[in-house]
This record gives sequence, structure tokens and C-alpha cells, in this order.
Amino acid sequence: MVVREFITYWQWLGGGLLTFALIVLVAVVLGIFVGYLVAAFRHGPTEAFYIVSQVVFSSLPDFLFTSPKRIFAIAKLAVKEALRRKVILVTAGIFAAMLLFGGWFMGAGTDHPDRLYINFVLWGTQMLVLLMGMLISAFSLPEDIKHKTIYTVVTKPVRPTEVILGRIVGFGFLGTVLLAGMGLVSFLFVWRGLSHQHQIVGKNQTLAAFQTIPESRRSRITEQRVSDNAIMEAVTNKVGGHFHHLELTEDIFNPEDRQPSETATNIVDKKVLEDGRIAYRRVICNRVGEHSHQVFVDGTGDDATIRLGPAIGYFRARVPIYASKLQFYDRTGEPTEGGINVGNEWTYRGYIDGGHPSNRTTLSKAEFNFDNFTSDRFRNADVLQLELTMQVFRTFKADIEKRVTAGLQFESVPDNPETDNIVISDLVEFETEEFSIQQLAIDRKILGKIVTPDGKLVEKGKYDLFETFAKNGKFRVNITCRDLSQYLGIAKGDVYFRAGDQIYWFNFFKGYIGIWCQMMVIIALGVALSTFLSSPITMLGTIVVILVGFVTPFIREMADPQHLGGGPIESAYRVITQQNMMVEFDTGFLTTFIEQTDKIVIYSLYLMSYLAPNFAQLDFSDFLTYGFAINSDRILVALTTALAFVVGLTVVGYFALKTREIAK
Amino acid sequence: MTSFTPFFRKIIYLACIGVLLIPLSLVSRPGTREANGKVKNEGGKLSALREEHDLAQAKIADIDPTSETMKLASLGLRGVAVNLLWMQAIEHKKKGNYDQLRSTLEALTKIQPNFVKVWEYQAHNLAYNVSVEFDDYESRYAWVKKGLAFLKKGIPYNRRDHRIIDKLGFHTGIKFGKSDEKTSFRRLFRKDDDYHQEMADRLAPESYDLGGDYGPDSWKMAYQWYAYARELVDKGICQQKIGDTLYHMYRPAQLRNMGMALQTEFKTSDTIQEIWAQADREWKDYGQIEITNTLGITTKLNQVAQFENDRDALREELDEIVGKHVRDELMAEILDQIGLNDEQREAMDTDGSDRTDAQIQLVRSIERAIVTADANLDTKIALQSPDSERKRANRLALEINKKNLQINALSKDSNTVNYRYWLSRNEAESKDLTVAAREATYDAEQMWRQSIYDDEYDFNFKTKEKTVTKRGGISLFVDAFEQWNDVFEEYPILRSGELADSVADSIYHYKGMLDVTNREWPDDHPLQKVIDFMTEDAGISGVPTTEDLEERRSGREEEPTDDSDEDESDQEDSGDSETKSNNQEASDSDQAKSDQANTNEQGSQDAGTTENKKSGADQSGNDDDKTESESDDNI
Repeated sequence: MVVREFITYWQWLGGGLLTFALIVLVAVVLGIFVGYLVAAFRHGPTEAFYIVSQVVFSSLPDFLFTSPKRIFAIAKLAVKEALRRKVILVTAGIFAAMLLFGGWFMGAGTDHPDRLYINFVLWGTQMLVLLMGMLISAFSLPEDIKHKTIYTVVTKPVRPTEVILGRIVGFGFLGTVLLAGMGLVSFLFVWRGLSHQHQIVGKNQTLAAFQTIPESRRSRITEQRVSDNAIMEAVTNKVGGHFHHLELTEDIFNPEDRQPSETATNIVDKKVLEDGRIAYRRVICNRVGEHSHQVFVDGTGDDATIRLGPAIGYFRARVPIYASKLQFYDRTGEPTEGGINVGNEWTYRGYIDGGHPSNRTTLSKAEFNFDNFTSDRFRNADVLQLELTMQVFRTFKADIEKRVTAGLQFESVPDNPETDNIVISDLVEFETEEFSIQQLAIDRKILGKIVTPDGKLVEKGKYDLFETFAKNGKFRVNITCRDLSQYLGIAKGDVYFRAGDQIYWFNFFKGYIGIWCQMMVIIALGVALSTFLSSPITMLGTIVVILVGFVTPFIREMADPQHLGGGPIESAYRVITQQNMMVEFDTGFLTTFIEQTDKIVIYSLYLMSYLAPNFAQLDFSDFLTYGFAINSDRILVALTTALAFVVGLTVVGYFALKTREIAK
Repeated sequence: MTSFTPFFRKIIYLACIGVLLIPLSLVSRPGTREANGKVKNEGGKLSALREEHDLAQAKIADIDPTSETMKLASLGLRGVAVNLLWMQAIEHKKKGNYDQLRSTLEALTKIQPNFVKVWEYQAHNLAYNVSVEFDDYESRYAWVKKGLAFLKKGIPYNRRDHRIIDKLGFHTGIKFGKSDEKTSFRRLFRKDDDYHQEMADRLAPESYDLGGDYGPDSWKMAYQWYAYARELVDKGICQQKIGDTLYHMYRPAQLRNMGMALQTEFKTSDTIQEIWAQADREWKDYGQIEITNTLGITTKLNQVAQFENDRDALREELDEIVGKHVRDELMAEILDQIGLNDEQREAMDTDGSDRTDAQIQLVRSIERAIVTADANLDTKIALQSPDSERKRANRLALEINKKNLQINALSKDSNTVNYRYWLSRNEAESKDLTVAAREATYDAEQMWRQSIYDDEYDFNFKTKEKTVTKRGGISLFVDAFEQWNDVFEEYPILRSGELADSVADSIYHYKGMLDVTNREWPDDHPLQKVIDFMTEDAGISGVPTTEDLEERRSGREEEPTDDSDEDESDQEDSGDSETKSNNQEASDSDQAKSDQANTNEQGSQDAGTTENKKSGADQSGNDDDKTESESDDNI
């Protein structure tokens, strides 16, 4: 999963409040100025001053004495009105049709059907809910005004704030009910679509259906690689476009080693060898994509019946513990910004190199620095899950059947690097797995050594990750590429320790909070705009805001003054004159004109990106799609953003309505 | 009155719509047929046009409700939807979201299902560009299959177009059989029942199962795809959409590819020999098919010799009228103008029946040069005929020019598909002579792999006789080379090309063994003449030529007979350095050979599939390159 932002809610709030205050200030000044201009045009400059003052001061009691009771009453009316329009019904109907036919595009045979299913339901829900929010909010007030039914409300003792808030609350309530229904149905749709079971291919469901592994260590059935400890193999039947490879593995443990759990259901038998060691035979169901099946062995030995449980791995909500900082180092050991660029168009990942034949020792590495790395965050587990997603860039073919090897090493981060000793673990090499989340089980006690700050060995032994390595809460993970002339691509969000899993349905619910926030912003926007615009124009305005909201990151990227090739005017000029992005313009009037104009355009774009909500910030679909828990910081950010927009838009709507004859 | 105005306006609108529907219904009225299929009523103009140009959806493809629903759901904005989906697909590919890419492609092909190039392009994207993004070869194999499965889905939507099926044949052959991972891929393919079942609705798995250890073969599957496409064309279900020369070439070409692949994977056998025999038969059949080229000339590839004889007979007739000296004089002028080297002159001077294959090729190229230099040579000769015979001479010149045109067109087509080379190769490989050479080479290569270079023998001290118990690589290679020499004697054209390259590999192995055992290259190497030719023609290096051996011999003769210790020592040093030098040359020659293999016209290089992972070359982005590699691969 692509993760770019790692800040906490409080870190975000600092900057967010400042931006909010700035926008409020600009809006207030601009509002007063525009209001004054309009009033001056209609009533003259002196009268205008009094009118504006009156509007501003009379708004205070409206805001202060807004009654929740009246808001509730208007909300009830809004609900009735929306139900009468049957928009909700149509939305629910489209959603039902979408789910009915959506299964056609969930093509069997993909390794990650879960991603497709979840992406599909979230995208569909998001689009429908936003559309519904836009329609019910944009048509409400203008229709009331057109049909003069608004007089049945404004002739009562209600304040304009209550008229607006009542509608937002009413529509919001309806949207929430609809969203809850859609969420529940979506959950069932995904669960039903993904649940499946397999059977072993063979005459019976015992070890008799298994075949021995040939010496080539490749499957006799599929010719694919098998695990090192596999002694027999079988395959399951094909369901949902895939089948699983089953392996009977044999692992021998010393009595003092950690033994397989007694509750493990996949143990065929356990034998004590002559030398006292214990051999376990277990049946493993290999993963397809990121799902597998729990293996149940009924009985022991060769006659035991083997059956596979439902799919596991689809519904997960990993709780990742990310590094606070990722630092790349080049092959000379110097820190670099963002790693090596191998020429990929998408620059999310930086690359580290595995050395060159002419200089086999490379100091290139990716260093992940963890803070607050304490055992309680992992529920004092004995084995930690380190998960990685890496990409490989080969500069030559090398051994085709061998994947590029990466190196993993842990290191302590002393408070005082000049005096404190450093604990370094032994290097562990592993073959990389691309385009999936690679899981490495890390024993809490690992082999390593303690060295002095100048590199002298103090002692070797087995050290505890938390008590020795991260005794000050700081901890470092180094990733290196172990193959000459090959490269490994890595980003900060690619490496994390998995602290456990959250309850899936709760995470699914949190995912819908993002959509709810988007919906509330759109409803508030629709209501606010409809106080002074006609329905079609309100709809158009809302659509524009939705579109801008979805492309906010792109607009902000364009508004970045450091963007190569300059702003829009400069870029256009370069395109016309066929000058690449690196060519510097000659100094002169034209260049100054272009640069200054670009500054204005860029600043306008920058401001515009804040006038519309950044929907990417309110969108948690990637978390659900890739199976990550949505942390509370992100939820709080989304809720705060939505609240800020709703409050801001209510104020705008209030003044717009207040200035209309209708509400006086 | 005012309140009625909108009502009346609506009535008028409805009436207008109703009126306009009448002509629309008339021009769109569908035709009707009788029970026997005979057209009863042609229907409206639009309907008739749709029928005439086979534009009806039902004619092009099976009606897919999903596809039709999606097309309708786009509310006339199909183009916009297609653009958005294409952009989404590009974005997914860029970010490595390949499952989402595949899902986007599913939607994309639902709204433009009858656009063959979309299927071809995106299948290529999956099978080539996406597959090479994976470091794990098993994943790469899986994505090649996904690309092919995607392409297969396009068949029912384009049932009147055989190009999708042709592409299935092409990608099946090339990706499994010629990519860098071919050994691993073909091994996985043999055991991949799941994939064979996936394709079973179009190709029965047994149709490409060779049985025994060979199992299902990817090249045979490619052959069957082409055969399936040709069957549809023959039945009139599909229209032939590519030129005759390539259209008829693809299917038989897969057989020789299969033969070549199996030869590298297994010891040669009756099965492989039979595959080559079938390749030979089908290639010869191909030579007898009438092919119409882009100039509109219809010929058969095996007619070159006949056309040349006809033309020569016509020339003789013309020369009888004007006298042979006229041609000789004009020819001498042109040849001076072209400037021939000794070899070319020798080829020209040799009598037609005595010319070797190489000389025949040379003479043809010179004749083409002559025609280029002066296309009107025969016309000029005819102009010098006596007035009484002028008419006849002009007619003869005209016919000669016509024949020249045919020969040139045919030679061009023949060269495009390398017809003559593969004619000889298929025939040679299906003969016992070549099979024996291959078997001998296989045995020798086994010894080389095991580093068993010399013969093992029992020595009888009484009789002083040696009984060889196990032959080593060196002597086995010598036997193999003797047999290869016989093959090259019979088929001189094979001295360059893919076969020669594989024999050259064996020569390098043999030389390596000599170097390790500190032996000299023999003066009477069975393939010495072939090596001389290869050195000159195919650019191999690092192996002594006859010239080198003569130099060595003359050097020996000049050496003093009474050796001193010092001299011996010098010679040893010299020998060592020569060995080192030879090793270096051999090493260099590997590189040279590798380079040569990439440019060799007769080889079956795979420019499109020798991709280094993520080397930045996006094949889908360059259609020209792709087309070029396609034609190369199959020649």
C-alpha cells in the first residue's frame, strides 16, 4: 500500500488550524468587502455601511441562540421532503443493481480478488452517496423557494442558521442511514463473494493423496518450487479460479527450542528421534495472493483425514508500526536523499544497490529508524512479524530461477553514539517477493554482537530485541541488496512491524467514516450554494468541488513552486517553444512577466485546493483494499476536516440566506 | 391562453418526434429472410448497408449482454469512458497494481470489444510488459498465461477476424519458446494442466501433447492455434487479413521451432525426426501454394528455379537473333560499373550446373545488381537485332523483363521467409545422416559437461593392446564433426545460420577441451573447410583456419631439428602463450558469436523477448519494434 503521510493528529492540527484561521480571515474580509460593494451599489456607500453592520451584528444572536429543537424539527421536514423525492430509493436501487452485476467484473483467476471486491464496493458506494448528497441538497432550498413552500417555514420563528443546519442534519441523517445500509450489504457481498472451500485432489482426503517431492525440489504436479522442508505434496481442486498447493513438511526441533503450538490443527504426527530431537510432520496450505486455508488434521499418522477450512487472510486489518524515519545510504556509505533513481516513472520508491563487480563491497542500504519501540506495543509477543513490500530492478538477467536476495540486520541506536556500545544482529539473507506483502517472522531473541563505538567486538550472543537492542525505545532496521549489480526499491511505508490485527468489521466501519465525511461536506456545500444559486448551478458547483476534491494532490503538485518546468504559463511557453524543463530562460521582460504571472496563478491554485476538501485525505479505501487498520489519527483528521467545512459552509449559507429577501 | 402554451408546445414536440420516427423507422427497418435463408425483404437502407458491410453486432460477434449493457450505460459517451479506462490502465501499470489493471482491461474490452488491436495490444502488455516486472520466474510465467487468456477472451467478440488467434499462436510460441526463461517456461508448461484446461474450449489438450516424456508442447500449441485460424479462414468464417507470404508461413514454421526446441531439451529420437519430417513436408507444401504479393504477382515460392530456366531459355533465343557478343559486351560494361570481387567473378564464371549453393546466391545477387544498374539490358540487346527480327526480339525482351520481375518479386518473398534455408534445414534434419550427427554431438556434449575429455581404456601388457572402455569428449566430438561434415557437404547452405551456430558451439567446446589437455588443433579436422567458411561468412573467430594451420606447419618446418633444452623451454613458453591467446580468442569469440547471433538473418533470434527485466524498454510502446520482431521470429 502506498503510504505517504505519517503525521499524527496533533501534528496535523497545528498546521491545519493555522490554515483554517487564514481561510476564515480571508473569507470574513472578502465577505464583508463583497457585501459592502453589493449594498453600496444598491443603497449607496453610507447606507451600505449600516446594512453590512446590521447584518454582521444581527447574526450574533442567530448563531448564539440557535435551537437544537428547531434544527431537529427542520431536519425532520428535510427527511420527509427527501423521501418524497425518492432520490434515496433510486440510489439504493442503483446500488443493488451494481452489486448484482458487479460480480461479472470480479474476474476469477486473479491473485487478489479481495482487493477488487473491496475497491469495487467502496468506489461504488462513494460515488452513489456523493451523488445522492449532491442531488438532495442542491434541489431542496431552490425548490422550496420556487414553490413558495419556504414561507411555511420562514414565517415561523426560526433562524436562518436553523434552516441551514436543519437541512444539513436532515440530509446527513438520511445519507447516514443509506450509507450504513450500503456498508452492511457491501460487507455481506464481499464476504459472500470471497468465501470458498477446497478439497484435496485425490481418491481420499488423507496423506495417500500426497506425492513425494522429487530430488529436483520442484513440484511433481506443477513443476513449481517447493519449500525446503517439504517432503510430500498435493493440490486442491480449483475454486474461484485458483487452487492451492499443499505440502507435508517435516521439521526437527531440539527439545529446548520453541515447539509448534499444541493447539495447531495441522500436525500430522510428532516423533521423538533417537538423538532426542522431535520431528513434526505438518500439512501447510500455500498462499495464493494473500489468502490461505486453515488445515485440519483429524487423527494422526498416514490415515489421518485432512480437510481445509474457509479462506483466511482476506479479511484482515493489520496494525503497522512504521519507522519514524527512512534514510538511504549510497555505496560509499554517504546519506542520500530518496535513494537511487533507476528511471521508473513512478518515483515512490528509492533504490539501493547490491554493489558492482568492480567494487563488490557496497555500503548502500535503507535504514529504518523506529522510535518508541517497546514490547507492550506488540503485546509482549515472542515472535514479531516484520512485513515488507519491495521491488526489484535487475540490470542483468543473472540466474533466472533465483530471486534477488536482500539482507536484513537490526541495530541499536545509542543515545550517545560516541560512548555507548552498539548491538548489531547477524545478517539474515532472504529472497525477495515482489508485488505482495512478504512476511518475516522475527524471534524476539536474536543472534548478534555488541561492539564499541570504534567497532571493536565486545561479545557475541543472543540478545532480546526490546531489552537489549531497543532498551532506550530506539531501534534500527537495515535493508541491503545482496546481489551484485541488482537493485532493491523501497519506501518508508514498505517496511513495518505488524503489531497485530484489528477486528475487521470495525475497520470496515472506519473506512465508511471517510465516505461519511465526504458526504457531509457535499451536503453542506449543496445546502450552502443553494441558498443563493439555482438548483442546476448548485449541482454544477458541487460537481466542480467534487472533481477538485479528488484531484487536490495533483493541483497542489502543480502549485508547488519547486515543480520542474515552472508554473502553468512557463510550462505552456516551454511546450510551444520546445524547450525542455532544464533549460533556463534568458533574463528579460518576458521571463519576468512569465514568472510573476505564474506566481499569481500558482498562489490561486494553492488557495483553490484548500477551498475544496481534499478527498484523498478523507478516503480510506486503500486501507481496506490492502488490509490495513485505519489509525485513529487519520479518522480524527477526516472528522475535523469535515467539521471545519460544515461549519464554514453553514456560515456562508447563513449570510447568503440572510441577505435574501425571503428570510427577512 | 398563457397557461396552455407550455402544454401545446409539448404536444408539438411530441408530434415532431413522432413524425421524425417514421422516416427513421423506414430506413432502419430490418430485412427478413425465408426459412431457407434467402433474403425475402432487404429492409431499410441503413439495415441493408449494415447487412452489406457485415456491421451488425450479431455478424461480428456473439452478443454479450454485459458488453451491450455497458455500452448503453455510457449514454453515448463511450469514447470518453474508453479514454478514462485507458488512462486508468496506464496508471495502474505505472504503479504496479496489476490486478486492478487486469480488471480495468476487462471493463475496457467490454465497451470496445470489436477493436482487435485493443485485445492484441493489452494482451501483449500483460504477457510481455507486466510479466517482466516480476522477479520471480513463476510469476512471470503466470502473467504470460494471463496475457494469453485475456487474448483468448477476444475471440468470440471478433469471430470474423483470425488475427487474435494468430496472435495467440505467436505469443504462445515466442513467450514460452524463445524468451530468456524458455527452459523454465517450457518445463512449467508441460505440467500446467490448469492452463491446458483453460484453453480446452478452443484447443483440445491432446492436440498438442507429444506424449511420453515430451508431453504438451508450447510450439505444438502455437502450431495448433495457427491451424485453427487457417481452418476458420478456409471455412469462410474469417477473412484472411494478412499477406499470403506470412499467412501461409506461420503454421509450418512452428514445426521447425518445435524440432529445434526439443533437440536442445532431449536426445534426438524418432519423435523429433518425425517432427522434422513433418516440418519438411509442410514447408514443401508451402512452396507449392500460390502466393500473391503486394505487387499483385502470383507465384509459388518453389518456382524460382523454373522461372530462371525459362528466362535463360528466352535469353538464349534472343542471343541467337542478335549474337552472343552483344550481351557479353554490354554485360562487361555493367560488371565494370558494379565492380566484382574475385569470389563473385568465380561464381559468375562457373557453369550454372556446377555452382554451389553459395555461388547460386551470389550470382542471384549480382543479377539483381545488374537489373538495378540497367533494367533495360535485354531491351537494349533487342534493339540491336536486325530489322527483320526486331519484332520477335522485342517480344522476347518483354517476356524476359516480365520473368525478371517475377523472379525479383519471388526472391524477395523467398528471402523474407528464408525459404531456401529452411527447405534444406527441414530436409536435412529429417534424414538419418543428421540424426546420427546430432546423436553423436549429444554424446560428446554429455562428456564435455562431465569434463571427461580423453578416452578411458584397458591396457593389455602382454599384447600391448588398448581396449577403449569409455570414449571421451574429444574423440566423440571428432566422430560427430565427421558426420556434420557429411551433412554440410550435402546441404552447403546450412554452413551459415542457426544450425551452423549450434555446431560452432560444439567446436568451441571441443577446442576448449584441446586447450585444457594441452593439445594442438589437428591438421585434418573434419570440419576444417566448414570452419574456414564460417570464419569468413558467419564471422566466427577463435578457431584456427586452414591458413592458420599452414602457417603453423611452415613454422614447424623452419624450426631447427637439433633441439636444445633452451629451445624446448622457449617453445613451451610460446605454446603456453598461444594457448592463453587461444583461450582469450575463444572467450572473445563467445561474445562475437553472441553478437552475431543477434544479427544473423537466418537465425531465429527473438529480438522482442530477450528482455532484461525492467530494462526500461516498454515493448507495448513501440509497435514498430514489435512488428519487426514478429517477422524476424518467424522467419
